Amino acid sequence: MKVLSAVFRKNGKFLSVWLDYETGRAELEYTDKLPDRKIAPALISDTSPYITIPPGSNAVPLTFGPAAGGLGQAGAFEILTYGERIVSIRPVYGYKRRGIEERLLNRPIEESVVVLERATGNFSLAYTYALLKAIEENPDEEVWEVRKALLEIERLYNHFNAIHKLAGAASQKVATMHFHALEEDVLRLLSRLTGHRYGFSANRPGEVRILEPKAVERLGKIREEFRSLREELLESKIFIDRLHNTCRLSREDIIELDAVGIAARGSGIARDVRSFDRYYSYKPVTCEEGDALARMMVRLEEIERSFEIIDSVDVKAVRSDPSVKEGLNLGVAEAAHGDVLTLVEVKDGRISWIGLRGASRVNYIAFSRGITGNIFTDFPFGLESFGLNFADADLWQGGVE
Amino acid sequence: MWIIKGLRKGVITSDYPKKVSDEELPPSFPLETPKECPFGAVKDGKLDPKKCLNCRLCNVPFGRKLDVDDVRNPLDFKRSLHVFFLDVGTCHACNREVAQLQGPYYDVHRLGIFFTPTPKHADVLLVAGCPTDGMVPVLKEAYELMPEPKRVLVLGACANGSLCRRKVEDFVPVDGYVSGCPPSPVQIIRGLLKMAGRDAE
Ligand code: SF4
Ligand code: SF4
Repeated sequence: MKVLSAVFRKNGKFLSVWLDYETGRAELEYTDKLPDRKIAPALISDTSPYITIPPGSNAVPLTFGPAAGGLGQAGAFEILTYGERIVSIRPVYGYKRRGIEERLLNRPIEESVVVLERATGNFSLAYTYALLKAIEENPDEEVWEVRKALLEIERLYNHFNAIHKLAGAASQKVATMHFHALEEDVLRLLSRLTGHRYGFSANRPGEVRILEPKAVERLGKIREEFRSLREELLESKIFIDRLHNTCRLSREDIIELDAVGIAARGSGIARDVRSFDRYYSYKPVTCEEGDALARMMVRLEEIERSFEIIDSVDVKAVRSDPSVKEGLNLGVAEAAHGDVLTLVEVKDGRISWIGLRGASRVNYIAFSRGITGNIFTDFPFGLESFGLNFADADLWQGGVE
Repeated sequence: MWIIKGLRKGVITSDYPKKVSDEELPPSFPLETPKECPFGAVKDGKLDPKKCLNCRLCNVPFGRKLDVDDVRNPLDFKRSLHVFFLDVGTCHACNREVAQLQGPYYDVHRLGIFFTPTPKHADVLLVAGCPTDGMVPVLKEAYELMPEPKRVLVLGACANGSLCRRKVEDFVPVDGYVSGCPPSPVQIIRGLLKMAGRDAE
């Protein structure tokens, strides 16, 4: 089944990327009009209509953000509510549009990579994975094995963060702190391993920089701790109750909204770039229920898988000398929240155009669908179960024309 | 059960500022001035740490360095400090580091540092990110709403004008800078303690 993965503006036209998650086949299509898909307007800009109040309704519109303590980031939601039930909601994009993406262009590729890492910091290893996948010709298997391990380490700390936030929303104070500590443990491991807490500068063109390979051995202890926490967490009935049935998405919702990543897999749809990535042999984890609990269960299982994948890799510094592919190429990587996609045009060894699409851009819309009709106190549970952020949603949707 | 788990884990909270462990030291930083920097961190033969992205593209010796802050105008607060964190356009890594301050490893409450959800109760405005069109008015308003005496502490290379065209000091008066991309939790604590007029080491 083809999914509308991204739409960019290029040369005065719309350039759509369609992706088939079963085969990994991608199709690019230039059109004058936006494709006729529900997600299309949200992919290209934030012009989806502001919430209008249905006549005769006594619901009130309210804006949450962009400086609200609860979100902790620059982003906002417009919500229509009676005070308790969420009648309608939409994310407001644009507060994070920083324009750093154009700093990526027309410079040596290694500098472009440095800038790209700073587009979405907590998914930087996924973005650089996707970009290098798109542009490296004759890739070196060994380099990619290590990059794969790094991508899984990034998934670990992001999954821990999502569970920490979910537990926090339920005021499960002790569990919150334990998962927060696990996240920090992984950041420290990355810092040892790569010289940076978020792994910036580890993925370089043709190369992966590992400073202290022994640091991955710490994962053994982290894994042990995670396993006992997992057991404890699932025993807490109050916590499970808050997630159960919250922010539910059906299979049809996922298909209609072209949702990806954890959101899709939590509703029984196996969209996972790792299932067709040539450096993985991976069978996606899915769960049928489609609620916040299902998304957490998928995460818990994926954490186990990540440990296994990292275990199977000999993590060390590797250097190779691939050439750079010219022309327009697509690279995708499965980040912790869903796939990230880079469409890159290389001319004379430099990036002349780039389109970036993070999973947050798509999945905030899915979240909005799921949380509609829920009550206000469900909001944080729904939101945190997706693990999205606005830096990732507010990326540039089309290069220099 | 949770209690037993907690006991088993033991104390993990940092000793900082009494002592800083090797684990907590921030990621590598250029120890010498490179000849040039593609990101504008070197000017007139001098390294401006505020703009350095810690990217290690320049081939100079790197090492872990804690004191990359510059607090010019501290408060005279010996006891507690209330902080309002504002993201004006980050990549989210700075946010995660600030969030870690409230985690068990750093737990800034032990130092009398508290985060408030409103600028009206804040002594320090902690700002990270490139000020975007949407966030500039929010930044100015947050500053206006704060009671006197107030200070602004800026975090990270973005907020200092690296990567972006703008920097925070273009919009509100800035009293201190913490360098890094992102600054590590101990560096942020150091900046906050200095801002409170307390000895960081
Ligand atoms: S580390 Fe990067 S940003 Fe800093 S001086 Fe070197 S090249 Fe410039
Ligand atoms: S300073 Fe670095 S880590 Fe912080 S927001 Fe900017 S790019 Fe991200």
